[in-house]
Amino acid sequence: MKSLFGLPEKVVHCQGCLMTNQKPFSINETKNKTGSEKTGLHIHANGLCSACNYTKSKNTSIDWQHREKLLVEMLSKYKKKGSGYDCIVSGSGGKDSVTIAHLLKYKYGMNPLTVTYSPLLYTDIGWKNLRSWINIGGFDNLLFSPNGKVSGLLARESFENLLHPMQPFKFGIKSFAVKMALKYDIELVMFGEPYAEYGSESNESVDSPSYSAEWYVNDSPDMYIGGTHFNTLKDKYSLSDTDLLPYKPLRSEEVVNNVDVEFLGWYLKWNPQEIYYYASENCGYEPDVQRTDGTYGRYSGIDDKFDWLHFYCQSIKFGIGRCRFDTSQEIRSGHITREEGLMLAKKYEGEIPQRYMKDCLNFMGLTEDEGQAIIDKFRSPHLWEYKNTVWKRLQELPELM
Amino acid sequence: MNWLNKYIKIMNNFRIIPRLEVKSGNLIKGMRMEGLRIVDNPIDRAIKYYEDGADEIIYSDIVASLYSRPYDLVTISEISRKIHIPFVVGGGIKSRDDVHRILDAGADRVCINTGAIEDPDIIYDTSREFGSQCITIEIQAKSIYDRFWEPFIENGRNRTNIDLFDWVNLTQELGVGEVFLYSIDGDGMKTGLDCNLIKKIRKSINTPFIAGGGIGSTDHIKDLIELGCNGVVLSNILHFDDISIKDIKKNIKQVGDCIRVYE
Amino acid sequence: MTVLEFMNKSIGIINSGVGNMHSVNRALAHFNVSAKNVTNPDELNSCDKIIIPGVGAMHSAMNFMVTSGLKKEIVEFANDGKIILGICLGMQMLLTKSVEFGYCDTLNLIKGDVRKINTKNEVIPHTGWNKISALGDNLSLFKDIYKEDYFYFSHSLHCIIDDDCDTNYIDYAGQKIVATLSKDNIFGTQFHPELSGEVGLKIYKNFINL
Repeated sequence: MKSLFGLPEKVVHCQGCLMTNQKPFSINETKNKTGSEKTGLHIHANGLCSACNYTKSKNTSIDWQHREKLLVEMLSKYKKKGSGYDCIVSGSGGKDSVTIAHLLKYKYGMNPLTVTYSPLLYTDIGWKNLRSWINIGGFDNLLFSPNGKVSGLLARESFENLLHPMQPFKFGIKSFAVKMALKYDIELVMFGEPYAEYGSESNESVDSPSYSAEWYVNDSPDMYIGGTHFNTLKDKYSLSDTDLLPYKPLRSEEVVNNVDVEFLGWYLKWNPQEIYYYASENCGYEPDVQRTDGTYGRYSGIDDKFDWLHFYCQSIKFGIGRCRFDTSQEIRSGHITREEGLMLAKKYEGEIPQRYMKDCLNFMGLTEDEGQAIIDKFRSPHLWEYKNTVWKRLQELPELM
Repeated sequence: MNWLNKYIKIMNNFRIIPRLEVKSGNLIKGMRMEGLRIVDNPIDRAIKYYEDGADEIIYSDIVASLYSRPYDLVTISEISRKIHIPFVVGGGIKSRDDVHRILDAGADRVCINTGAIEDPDIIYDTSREFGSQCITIEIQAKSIYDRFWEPFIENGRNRTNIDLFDWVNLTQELGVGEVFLYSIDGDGMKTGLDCNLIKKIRKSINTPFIAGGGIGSTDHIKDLIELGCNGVVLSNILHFDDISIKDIKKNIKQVGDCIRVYE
Repeated sequence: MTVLEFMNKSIGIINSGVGNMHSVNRALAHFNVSAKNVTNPDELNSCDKIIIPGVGAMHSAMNFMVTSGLKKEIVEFANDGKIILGICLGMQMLLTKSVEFGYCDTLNLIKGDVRKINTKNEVIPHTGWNKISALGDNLSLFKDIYKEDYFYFSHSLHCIIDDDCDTNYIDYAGQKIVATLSKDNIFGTQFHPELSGEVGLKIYKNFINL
């Protein structure tokens, strides 16, 4: 079976969690264009994926006390003596950024400036949690909301070409924190989970807490958003350079000061549920009003209406939707067993995100039929078969059939 | 405290009811009904609460429904052997057979939420067969954008789009033995319960009425007594040893003889 | 009966399909006593004393009693002076008739009716702990039980007795509700001693020693 996107034709399932070799890596988004081939998550000889293997080492061979010492040492380099912000924490008010900022300020004595690159469509609960972060957690916050007309067009472009409506958003947010750091003369940017938590093979992620400039700088003359070249976009939608400013990656010459991008999750053992409790106890963080189609939990990834559509698109393209993603995280952190994860996936995996589907399609200027037609174009023949008027999954675990 | 004298004759059996939320043999405690933080061993806690003067114990298997898997009857049996007070078991009960199996394993009464909303006849059928005293309906309630209250199912996950008071009234018609109101947003937060909601429900039902989700102090409990509740369901403040059942009862007894306590 | 058989006083629990047998068994097990499960006259006759538990529908319970032949045998058992303890529905069963879901003849060991608790100001079922207003301590079943002791009740019907027997009451819904009755070898508790904590276990201890 030929696979779209050049992913491995044979699906291999991780024996530890619910990921498969079809999960693509975070690639340099600016180079992602239509027809780009992707590399998939590696399943090792022991049957476990890279994320599960990383978790094993997280639980056994890492000296977390030592790492915390390194954190304190690193922070002391940047801690401002006197007034002024000494680090940037980027986030929308989700449990991760809320916790990072709170720990840095109240446990480690830093002075973070929180910065928010607005989600495409803030959910009510997401907005509420942002305000709680500011008012209950106690932080100064800068909110940047890109022009919705432009982001709607770009989301549509990306949806049509890549079935990845959030790609332009991810593109914009990636260099945003560093841009703010440069603007405000702050030398440290703290993020949460290193990519190794998701199985990125990059040694950088496993062995080091920080990312090099290569991660947020792109000097290439050819830029793509939503799978389309910048220039083509400008012509197609009559956009100016200024319209695309939020999406422009940083160029080397713009990085005039040293900016250190670090991951708190490298220094402190990362546990999504414990982070939820912390955010709830300290910053008034609340879970969503209800479960949304596609997964079982209410406490994670709830601030953008596009989140659920994003994961749904992943389930179409790679056979890995939100429920698989969430259960795999919770399996690795020991909150549920793989068996329980399977039961959850059987129940919720692949549910169409009805709750916000219309809002997302409207934002992109698409009807439901148009949206459905686009989605179906991305069903790779090695994962999907159209039989008796329904789409059937191929190469799926028997427990989920 | 004159308000309590009003209730002494009637409310002379207010119950202190610890609740154990159990997953895979572990006692867990979430916040706003999310999270699986392990607290203790449920059997040890049940015995401790019994010895400390609990009037009843509720055991909720919080994943029986989610994982569509059978009950941990071993833990239920074990607990029922050790405590000689009413033992209420709930979580994922969908049929008459489920009720029978759980009563057979040692429970004295069952607690049903999702199963009853999906098929209200289960209330009618099981209360006729096993007695209304055996059936408690749990209502997991959430205030929707501070405008109205709605019952939720699947352990606080899914909306029902049902009017909470319509549902409460229906349970009465179907022969329920007790109504148990649980506040989803109060869960684990220790901020107290919504008194208007409690008042309104109390006025509209004739059956025993117990409430929980957010109790953080004996003042919160006294509020419930004043509003005419027949019992309070506690988890967070007991599991984390903020206060003991003995001390709660001593405190309440000081203001009125409405609770089972030995001096 | 041989001496050995006499010494082997055995307790039976009537299993009419609607009982809370398990909690009764657990209370007895606390004293290392195991009771016989009684579903027919032969099993009944191998017992020296019996407990009739009960929760739920009187109709089904009595139906079982009649079809199994136990109804007749229990009356004989009582007439032979053997000890019977009825708990909750079991106590109600000792009376003449019950009006739950229509009329139902019961064991008629104690004259009286079982009726719904009349309630305007109170909740039904009566669920919770109550102190009994007076407990005669000459009653061997209630030895070491005091006025300050609480017992667990859970019922919607109650007994109106028209017989010459010892009774103790509680106040509920502005009415006097029979909490205990005793007449010679027949005993009844409206409350559940097996769910009444350590105090309730004392009643089982007394019952075992009767």
